[in-house]
Amino acid sequence: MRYLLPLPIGLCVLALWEAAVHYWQVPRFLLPPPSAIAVALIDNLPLLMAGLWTTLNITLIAFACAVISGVGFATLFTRARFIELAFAPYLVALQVTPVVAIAPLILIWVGFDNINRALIIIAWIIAFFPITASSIQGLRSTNRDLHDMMTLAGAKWWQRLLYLEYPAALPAILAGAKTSGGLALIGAVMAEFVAGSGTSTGLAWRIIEAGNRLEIATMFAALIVLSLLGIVFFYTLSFIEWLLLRRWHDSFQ
Amino acid sequence: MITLTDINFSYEKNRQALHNVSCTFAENSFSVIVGASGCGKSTLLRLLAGLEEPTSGALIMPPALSTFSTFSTGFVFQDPTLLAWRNVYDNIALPLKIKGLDKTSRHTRTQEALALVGLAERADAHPRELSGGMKMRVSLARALASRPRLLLMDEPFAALDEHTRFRLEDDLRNLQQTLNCTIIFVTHSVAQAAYLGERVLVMGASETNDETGDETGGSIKHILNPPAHQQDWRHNPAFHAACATISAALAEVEAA
Repeated sequence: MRYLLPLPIGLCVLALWEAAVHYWQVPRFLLPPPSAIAVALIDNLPLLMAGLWTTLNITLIAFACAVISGVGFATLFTRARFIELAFAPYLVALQVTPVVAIAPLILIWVGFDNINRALIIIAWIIAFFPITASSIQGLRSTNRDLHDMMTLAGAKWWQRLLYLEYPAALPAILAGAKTSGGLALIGAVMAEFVAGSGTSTGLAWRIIEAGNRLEIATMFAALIVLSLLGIVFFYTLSFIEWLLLRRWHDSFQ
Repeated sequence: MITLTDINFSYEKNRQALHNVSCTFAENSFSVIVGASGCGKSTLLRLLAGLEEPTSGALIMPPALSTFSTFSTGFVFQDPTLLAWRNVYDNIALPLKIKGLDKTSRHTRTQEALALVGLAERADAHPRELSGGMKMRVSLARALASRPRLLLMDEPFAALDEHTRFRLEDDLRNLQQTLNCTIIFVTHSVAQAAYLGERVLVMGASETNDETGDETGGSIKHILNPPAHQQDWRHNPAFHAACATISAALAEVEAA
């Protein structure tokens, strides 16, 4: 029931939209009615699905790279204070530099013939920071008594990491992963925008292409597919979080 | 016999936590260290556990405990310090796994420890499903599963309600008699010290020199021997007299 609750609101908005477009005779190239968008969605389905597949691939690979490298970096950071002090300013620099500004550089270095690789790298850089920052925070906030308990048990460094620090940091890591997941998708789309004409075949390119041709309904259709991808991705990550934490974490009482 | 001779310990310069602590702990004895907050009693326990090294002085463990901090010492913290993501069974078995015991002996010892604290039924529960008293029992079981020769307890029942605390105190006394292990129990509660201890070590708080600001650490001022338990001991006048004796010793230490 609670999942059906948002439905009437959406239907009302769509109905009003449809009615308003017809009543005021809004031109199709400015705002198409929902019915025209539905038609465009069905007409362009093969093309949109191909675009979805490309964007999904780039997002997932960039996300996986961000999680592995982020948790890896966080692990390294929290091993010794001096490592953290030495690396911290560079990590912040990477975060505050708008990646959209260095994207053209990455495209030139990687080359337009390896366009997907360049897109993955850009999306990766964008998704990297939240998961890293959350993991560092999670790994650092392990209870001191628990560390003493591991010491008394005679735990080696890898046992401490495996049995105590990673599980204790898991809620923070997963929270960071959800943010990074969203950013990986945004990064993939943004990278395609920067790459521009013809070389990439993802959903973002479909949006640009449709925009250039003033096929606003197709643009909306691509946008819908993109939003759906984002929503499914987010809820998948939330579901994984629920699976891993429901038995023990306070956020799932 | 554990022997401490002139133990000094400082966390940082000018801030001494322990000053010339000398005492002994006989095998299979139940000693309680009592003192005000900040007197260094927890620090003393950490030294005995091997979590800290004395700054100076000698701490001599008997040969049976020479491998201490790996096998023969159990430590129970003030909080249950359980791993929230592991169930009761896995919490108790973890130190055994880390120590490299095979699965069969891990199972035997975990079951044994669960039975000792009366939690065999709740082996599958996660810590958040347990009451405060039960969590403390799991924590105790985890320490007992290593079959320790020395059990160190740092105000373990301080956060529990009185009724639960009384039950755990009785359980602990019974356990000590069946287990044959040395127990050193730190508390700030006079009644708990009088009830549990065969021997009560009264610690004096650290003192700060007003001119230099240097801190001299806490030390053991009195060693008392409360009488053996009799019928209905908690309500027995002799028990109240023992409490009064310890209170008087603490008051004298604080006044000095």
